[in-house]
Amino acid sequence: MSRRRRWPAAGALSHRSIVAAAAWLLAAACGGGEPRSAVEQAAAAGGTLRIPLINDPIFDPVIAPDLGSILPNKLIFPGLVRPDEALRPTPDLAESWTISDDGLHATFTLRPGVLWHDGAPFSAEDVKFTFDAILDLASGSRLRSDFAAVQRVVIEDSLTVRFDFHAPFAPFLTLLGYNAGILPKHLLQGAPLTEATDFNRRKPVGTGPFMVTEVAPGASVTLVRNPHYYGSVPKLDRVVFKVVPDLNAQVAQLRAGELDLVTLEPANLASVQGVPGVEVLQVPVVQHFYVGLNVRRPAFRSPDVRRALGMAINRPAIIDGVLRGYADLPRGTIPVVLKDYFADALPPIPYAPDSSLVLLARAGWRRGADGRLRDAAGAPFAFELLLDKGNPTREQSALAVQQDLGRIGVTVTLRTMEFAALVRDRVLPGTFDATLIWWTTPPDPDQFAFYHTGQDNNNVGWSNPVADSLLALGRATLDVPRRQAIYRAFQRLEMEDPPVMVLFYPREIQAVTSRLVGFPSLGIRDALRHSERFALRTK
Amino acid sequence: MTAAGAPHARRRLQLAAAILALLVGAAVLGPLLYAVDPNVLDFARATVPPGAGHPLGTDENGRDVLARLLVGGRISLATGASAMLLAVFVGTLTGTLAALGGHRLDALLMRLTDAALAVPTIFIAITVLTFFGPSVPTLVVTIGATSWMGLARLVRGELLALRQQSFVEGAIALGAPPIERAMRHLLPHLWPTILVNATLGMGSALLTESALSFLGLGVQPPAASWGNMLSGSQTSLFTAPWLAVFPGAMILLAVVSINLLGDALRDALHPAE
Amino acid sequence: MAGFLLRRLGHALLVLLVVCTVTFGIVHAAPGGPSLLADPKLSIADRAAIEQRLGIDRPILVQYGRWLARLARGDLGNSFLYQTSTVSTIMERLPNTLLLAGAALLLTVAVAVPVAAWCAERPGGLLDRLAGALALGAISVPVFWLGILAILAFAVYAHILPAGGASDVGGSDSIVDRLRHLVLPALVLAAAGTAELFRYTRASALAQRARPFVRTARAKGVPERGVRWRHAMRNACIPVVTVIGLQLPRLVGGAAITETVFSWPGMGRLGIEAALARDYPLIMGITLLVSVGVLLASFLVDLAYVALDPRLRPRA
Repeated sequence: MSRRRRWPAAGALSHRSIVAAAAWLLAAACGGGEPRSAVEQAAAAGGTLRIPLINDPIFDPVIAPDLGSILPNKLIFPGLVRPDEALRPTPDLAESWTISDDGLHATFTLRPGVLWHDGAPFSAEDVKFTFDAILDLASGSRLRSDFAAVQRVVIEDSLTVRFDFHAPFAPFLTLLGYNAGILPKHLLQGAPLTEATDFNRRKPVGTGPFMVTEVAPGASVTLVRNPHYYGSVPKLDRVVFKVVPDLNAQVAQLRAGELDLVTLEPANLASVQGVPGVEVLQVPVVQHFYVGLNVRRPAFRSPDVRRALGMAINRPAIIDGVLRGYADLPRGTIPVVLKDYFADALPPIPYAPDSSLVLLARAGWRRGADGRLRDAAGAPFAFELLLDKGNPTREQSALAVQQDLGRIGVTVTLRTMEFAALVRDRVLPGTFDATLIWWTTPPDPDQFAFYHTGQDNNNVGWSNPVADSLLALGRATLDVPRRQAIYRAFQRLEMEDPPVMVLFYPREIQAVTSRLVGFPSLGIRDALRHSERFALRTK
Repeated sequence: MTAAGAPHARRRLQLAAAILALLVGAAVLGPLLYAVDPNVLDFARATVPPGAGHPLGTDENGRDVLARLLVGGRISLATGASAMLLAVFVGTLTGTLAALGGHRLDALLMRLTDAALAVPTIFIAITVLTFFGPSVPTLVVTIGATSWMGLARLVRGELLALRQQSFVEGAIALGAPPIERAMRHLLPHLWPTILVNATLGMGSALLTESALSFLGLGVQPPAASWGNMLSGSQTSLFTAPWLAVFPGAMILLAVVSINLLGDALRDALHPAE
Repeated sequence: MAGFLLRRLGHALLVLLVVCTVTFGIVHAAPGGPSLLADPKLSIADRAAIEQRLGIDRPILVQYGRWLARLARGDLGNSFLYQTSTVSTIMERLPNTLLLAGAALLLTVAVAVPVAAWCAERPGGLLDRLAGALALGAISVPVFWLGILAILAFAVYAHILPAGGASDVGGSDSIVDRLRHLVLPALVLAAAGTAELFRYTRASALAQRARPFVRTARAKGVPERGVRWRHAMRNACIPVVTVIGLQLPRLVGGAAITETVFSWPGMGRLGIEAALARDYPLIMGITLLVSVGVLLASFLVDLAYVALDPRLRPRA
């Protein structure tokens, strides 16, 4: 079951368009100031948009860990900012902000006159309440590590709120627009967030363009247009999230006209291509899929060996064959979608099995008569590659890695495990040779948590002192050109001393009804931040 | 069964046995005769329809479907047969001991059976398979250990009913020891029950493997089984239907012929004559 | 009889305790822990806080003791996934599963028994062969496959029935609409059970016809109708009752797959989700509930045995 599983959102994610929809950009540039008549016209069109979820949501962006909750929460709970189509933070609940020169204070002016779905006024109290909960270890918050740099939140007046930081923290604005939806203090204060059952499961109250009217457990969540929304009037009458745990069932329902917007695995692509009334879109997302070689293992300690193994993998074949072309060739670990930071001047890692063998020979691995690589003592080069089971894309990628490394005489044994067991029992304790896994991150190049020496999430145990200082500097540098230089240097370094073998940067495949307009060219998580613009053409 | 039924039963028996022999033969010898690597990836030749080069086409990874069907048949049939044997053994033993082993043992075994029957096995199977990892031996044990209870109760029920009948009472009166009583006088009467159950059990073991594959807990890739081939074909239903047709047909054919075989055996061995 | 009932109740409680203990052990022994912890991005401190909040940092025996103590108060704890009471989470889904399983069981008995009786009267007839072939097919096809084919045929291509769900979202929540959503999953869920019941019933009806007492009855001049129903079918009913009793847990297991294929908002799918996510309280709650249901059914089956065959009456 590719599909039917409640995934924790491994970090966060975001995406950007390849082709910008000019009309949409224009609308974005105009902000809330669309001509009144156009709004009324579109609003009259109305209609219901139906989107699948793989599980029942928890309506609380602070404690919900899974994609099934994240998607509806994007419509219900806006954040202080939201990403535009270039993934840059733009005003949402905050009208404007200033950041002090030392980078230690960020002051936000909130939009006046915003009402919660229950009619109560929105204020700085709500913002402080939300971030106090996020930072509270005992609250069940899933966003704490994102905002660990925040020291405290101070209310300056009812519409002004200031964040104080332990140290300058460049990814802050991006993270604000990511999963950090603002919660209503007047409804949630006084009890743990995890125990606000009625709110979390049935009657959430946010400030977003759509509000929940009906929850059918295990079946659907119905949201209707919020007539008091502070932005442009939402055009759709309703958005319905249907719980359809099986991805193939989602495809069948899309074809049967019972769903309007489905994100797909490459394997499902052919099933929706050429279907009348269905359009297939693609957007690159902020993910890197990689084979993590455990650097604590002697065989993988040498950067040359890791580089050599990387060169023995035919990435273009994996991207064409497994991902049907819906992915980009990697350089370091920073995805291509982060255009400002992706080092496009670097050449992609070449597919060069011969050079790979030369490098490996230099590291002491020679091919025996049986074609297998052996070290000086005659021990064969063999390792176990762990992967989570049930996802055909990753299974096929692992098979391809196994086959490619087999060609240069490295024996790879595949072992599929349930994701939770893989992470808790093998990845976190570091008891693995290699694992095929991925990071989904907010649209920021900061990878301190993954690749800095000694961090909790540096699962492969990679350590490079130059990288450490670049990563530390990168997250504390607010000046964009200087940040760019830092991350370009980091990626150059990664080509010489790869922390992991990145296989590809995937693109999200969206199959949508061709009646849908106003859907920004973004991954679904970020696109849903703009739900008030969605509309369905009649007929 | 009436005398008129006998030739008919024999014909069905022959047909089912022939199909089954063909399937088993293909699974055992096929991979030796058809020397195509079932696991080699070739994305350039992915989802090639059946035809020259690949008689049954290729899957979405460019692997030869025929080669995988043959190898998968080995795994599926061996898994199904082993699980069925395990279930029949445990079920018959439990049912017999419960019926003939005295009141206390009966109570104990039936409570155990009740417990095993009461647990929703699919959830336990999911947990156990994630615990031990879905390999062929764990699949056999999981399927076998969750499908013996029906037979145990049927065997016990029939034995209790049979025990009251005159010929058994006669044997007891003659002083035959319990084991001999069971072996000679009672078990032969259970053959139809055991056979019908075993055939259904073998069939349902094959089906359970495919259901577990649907949940991602069957035989794990890259190894092939009919179940995981069928389950994996879902993504290509609209574009490469042969990926679904062939493993589906193999499962259907195998289960149908196994069941036919059981029916025919039951008719042939029917004790009522 | 009262003593018999009391003893059965005691047995049932004992069985439940065994079920709970074994399930608790298996579920907690499984590696990985709740999927809440499987987020690789959590820090060590976050992870420890979650474990503490869920109470899974305690020794397993302490956890089990606390679970039993809460159970005694009718509290099954909070689901990890849904962060709400396990009881209410299950109760939200239970009606849908009862509807689906009930419809399937009804279909099974209503179709299998009469058809089997008819076929046993005329073995080798056209209907007998047709029904036999259909039954053979129905028990030989994977349930999920049947479901997918049904969706393809009736929803994707013919557009006459919905592909999934229990009702039209936001649409008219009418009886007709609910029935339209029920048709495919109920048929698919009932298929194998119907075939199996048909085969058992037919086989045992045939066997009974050849039994000495039936022959005796016939020889004594009891009319053929009386022979058929009073003597033959009555005894043939014993395996029928057994098979129906066995259907119940299978309806839940089968329903889990069927519910997944048809996106049916039932308890079986909830159980699969809970088992995959290692949601301890939810798995335990569902297991307990299903076990109680099955024990109740098996008790009714035993009562039915007694009613059908006086020789099986308890020695009380």
